[in-house]
Amino acid sequence: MRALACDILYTIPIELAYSHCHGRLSDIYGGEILTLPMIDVSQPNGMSVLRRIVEARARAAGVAVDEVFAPPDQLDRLCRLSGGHPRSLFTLIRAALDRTGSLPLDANLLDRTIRIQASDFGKSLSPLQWVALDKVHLDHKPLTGEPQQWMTFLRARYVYAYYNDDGGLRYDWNPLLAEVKNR
Amino acid sequence: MSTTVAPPLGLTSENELELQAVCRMIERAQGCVLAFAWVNHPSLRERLTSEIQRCVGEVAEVTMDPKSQSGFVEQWEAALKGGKPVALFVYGLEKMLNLEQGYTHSMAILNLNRGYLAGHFLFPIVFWAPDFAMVEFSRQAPDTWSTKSGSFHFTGGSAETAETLRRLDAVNFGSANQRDKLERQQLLERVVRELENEQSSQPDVLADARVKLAEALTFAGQQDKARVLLEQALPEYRQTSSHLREANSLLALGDIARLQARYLDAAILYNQTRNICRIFNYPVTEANALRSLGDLSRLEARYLEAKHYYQDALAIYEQARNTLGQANCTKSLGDVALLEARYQDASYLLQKALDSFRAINDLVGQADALRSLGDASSLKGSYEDALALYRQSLNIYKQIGNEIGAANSQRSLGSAARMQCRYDEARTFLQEALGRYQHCDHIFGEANVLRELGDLARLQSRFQEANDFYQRALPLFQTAGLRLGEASCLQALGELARVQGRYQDAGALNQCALAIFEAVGDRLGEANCLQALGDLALARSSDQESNNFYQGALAIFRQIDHPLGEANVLRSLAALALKQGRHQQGGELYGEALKTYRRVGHGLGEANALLGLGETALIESHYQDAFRLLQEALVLFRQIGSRSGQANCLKLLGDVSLNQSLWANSNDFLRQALPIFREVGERLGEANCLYSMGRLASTLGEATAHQNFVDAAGIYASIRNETWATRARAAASATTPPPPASRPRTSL
Repeated sequence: MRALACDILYTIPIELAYSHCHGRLSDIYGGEILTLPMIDVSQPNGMSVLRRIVEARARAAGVAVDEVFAPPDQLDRLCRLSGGHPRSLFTLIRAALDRTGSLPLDANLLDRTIRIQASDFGKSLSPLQWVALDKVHLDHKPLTGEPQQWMTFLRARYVYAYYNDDGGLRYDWNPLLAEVKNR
Repeated sequence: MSTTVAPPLGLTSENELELQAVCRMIERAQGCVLAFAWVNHPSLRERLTSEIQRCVGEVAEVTMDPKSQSGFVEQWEAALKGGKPVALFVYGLEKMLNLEQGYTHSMAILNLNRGYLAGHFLFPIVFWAPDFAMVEFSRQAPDTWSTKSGSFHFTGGSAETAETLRRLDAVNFGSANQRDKLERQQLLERVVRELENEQSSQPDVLADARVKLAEALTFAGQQDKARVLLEQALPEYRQTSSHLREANSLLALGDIARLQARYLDAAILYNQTRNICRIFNYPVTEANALRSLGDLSRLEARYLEAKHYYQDALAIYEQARNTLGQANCTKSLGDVALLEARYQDASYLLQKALDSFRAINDLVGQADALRSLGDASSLKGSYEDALALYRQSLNIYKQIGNEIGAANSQRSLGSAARMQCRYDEARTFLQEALGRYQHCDHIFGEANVLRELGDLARLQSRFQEANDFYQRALPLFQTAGLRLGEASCLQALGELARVQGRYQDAGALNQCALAIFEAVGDRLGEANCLQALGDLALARSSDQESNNFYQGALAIFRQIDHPLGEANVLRSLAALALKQGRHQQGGELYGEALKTYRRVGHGLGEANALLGLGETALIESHYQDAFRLLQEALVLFRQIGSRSGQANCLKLLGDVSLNQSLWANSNDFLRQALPIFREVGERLGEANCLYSMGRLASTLGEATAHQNFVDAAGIYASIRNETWATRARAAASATTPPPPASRPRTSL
C-alpha cells in the first residue's frame, strides 16, 4: 500500500460505485473511483503474477513451490480457476492442504477439492441465475437490465471484472462455475 | 505438517476424509478462521463433532437461540466468557434464519461484524448446519460468506436419514408453526436429493423421505410435486411388501386426488387403502380411509353415506383409543349436520370436537373446527360471531402455514362480510382467497371463490363483471368434473339473468342446473333450484307456475328434513300470497316460517319473516302492528349487521309513517334508507325508496316529487322492471317539474 501515491485510500461498497452517486462521490472526494480488477489470468503476464505470489508465500513457509504441486502445472490450473482473485486462489490451496497430511498436492486431491468448492459455489444459484451467468460468460458485458441481480453477482464473486487494454472493463463469470457438475 | 488421523467411526470414506480435513484446519489455524460444515443430519453431526473433539481437544459449542434478543457475536461471547477455546462450533444457524422474508436482522449484523470477529475471535469458528441453511446464509450474508476459509461437506446415508426422519416425526407436523414447516420442507428436499445421489442408499429409506416431503408439500398446497414423490415411493413399498406404508401412501394420493377434484380417482385410492388395511389388519389406517371416503361423499352431497362412513371410522378410533381420529370424526359429523341444517346437533358436535383438539393441542383440528363453527354461526345469521370464528381459524392456519386452510377461512370471511353487505371487505377477502387457491392449484376452491366474486358483483349490480366471474368459474367446474359446482354456477348465471330481466335465459339456465342436480341425486340442490324457478315465475307474474315450483321445493325440503329450506319456501309462498291479495294466508305463511327460523336459530330468516309480517300488516292497514314488527326486524338486522335488511325495514317504516300521515317520521326513515340502498348497490330498493319519497313530496306538494319519480323510473328501466318504470313515469307526469333555477348574476 505504501507504493501508492496517495494519502488516504477509501474503499466503498460495490453498490455505491455502480449507483447514481458515482459522480457526486468523485466531486466530493476529488478523485476518480477506480475498480480494483482481477488479475487477468487469460494473459501470460497475469498467470505469472499469480504464480509469483504463491511462490513468495511458499518460500515464507519454508517450502519450494515445486514441492507443493505435483506436477507443477497443477498450480496453473488453480490460478486459472481463481479467476485472478488472490484470496480465492489461497482458499483453494488451503482447502487442498486441509485435505491431506503430506505434500505434494496431486491431481486427484485437487480434483476433489475443486469439486467441493465448486459444489459450494453453485448450490445457491437458481436456474434463472444460471441463464444470466451463461450470458455474462458469453458476452462479457454487464446485465444492465437486472441491476439487483448484477450487484449480487459482483458481491458474491459470481462475476469478476477485468481491465481491457483500452482501459474499459470486461466481465466474466467466476471460472469455478464451469466446474459445477449438477446445475 | 502435522496430521490428525481420526479413528474409524463407521463413516463413509468421503466423510472420513472431510472429518480429517476439519481436524487439520483447526490444528493449523493461527487466528480467526471462518469455516462451514455442511451436514443435513443432526445424528451425523453429533457423531462428527464428538469425534473431532476427541482428536483436537475440547472445543466450545454454542447452539444459537433464535428467541434471544442477542445476536450471533453476543451469544458467542456470553458462552465463551472470555475464554480462548481450540475452536468454536456453532449449531442452530438454520433456526436463526428468516426463510420466508429472505432477510434476517441478526444475519445482517453478523455481516457487518466481520472485522470484529477477525480481531476478537482468534480461533476457528465452524458453523454446522444443513445445506439449505448454508445456501440461505450465503444469500443473506454474502460478505461473511466470501471470507470463509474452509468448507466441509458430510453426506448422510440411509441410517442417518432414518434417524433424521424419526426425529422429525417426534414433532407434531400439523401444529408446528409455518417457519418450522418451511425449515422441515427444505431439509427434506436436501435429504431426498442427497439420498438420490447416494448410490448405496436403501430404497425404503429414500421412499420414506419422499413420503415425508410429500406430506410437507401437500400441506403447503404443492399437490403436483407431492403426487410425483408419492408415486415414486409406492413401487418401492410394493416391492418390499411394506403394506402399511403402501396403504398410507395410497391414502395420501387419494387426498391429493380429492384436493384436485379428481373424485373418482380418490375413491379408487381410498378403497385400495381400505382393502390393504382389512387384509393386513391396520385398523387406524382403515379408519382414516373411511373418514376420507366420508369426506368424498360429503363433497358429493351424499350425506347419509358420509354419516355411515364417519360413524364406522369413529367406532374404530374409539376401539383403538385414537383421540385425534375421534375428534376428526366428530368434527366431520358436525359438518354433515350443518349441511342438513341440524344446527343444534352441529354446534354440539363441533364444539365437542374443538374441545378435544384443544385437549390434545392439535392446531390443524382447532382451526378446522373453528371454521365449521363459523359456518354454523353464519348459517344461523350470527355473522359477527361467524367473522370472529373465521378470523381465529385464519390466524391458526397462517401460523401453521396451511395455505388451503387459510384460503378457505378467507373465503368464509368474504361470504360472511357479503351477508352483512360489507362488500368492499368481502371482495378483499375473496380476492386474497383466490390468490391462495391459484397458488396452490386448488381448482375446487378457485372455481368456488370465482363464483362468489360473481355473486358479489351481481349484488352490487355490476352485472357484466358478475357474468365474467361466472364465465371463468364455469369451465373450471366443468373441466374438473365438479358437477355440483357446475350446477351452482349455472344457477347463479340464471339468477343474474333474472335480475337483468332476461327471463327466458334465466329459465333455461335454471333448468340446466336442475337437470344436473337431479342426475347426481342432490336433493338439496334440486329443491333450491325449484325455488329459484318459482322466484323466476313470480317475477314473470306466472303465479300458478310459481306456486307449482314452490310446492315442489317444499316437498323436497320436508322429505330431506331441511327446516331452513322449508322456511325459505314458506316465505316465498307468503310473498306470492300477498301479491295475489291473499293477505291473511300470506300472514299465516310468514308466521309459520318465523316459527321455524326461531326453532333452528336462524337470525336472518327470523328478521326477514318479521319484515314480511310487517309488510303484510302495512298492506292490511294495521299500522301499529306493522310499525312494531318492522322495528323488531330492524333491531335484528342491526344485530346481524345486514345493511340490506336495515334499508328495507327503514323504507317500509317510512311507508307506514306516510300512511299514518306522520310526514316528518316518514321523511326521516326514507332519508335513512336511501343512502344504505345506494351504499350496498341495491338498485331496486333505491328505486322503491325514491318512489316513496316522491309520494311523500307529492302529498306535501313539494316540487321535488317530480324529480323523485323521474329518478325512480330511470332506475326501474335500467333494471328492466317495466311495470314499475311505467308507474313511476305516470306519477312523474302527474306532478309539476320545479321551475328552472335562476342564473346567478355575474358581478362586474
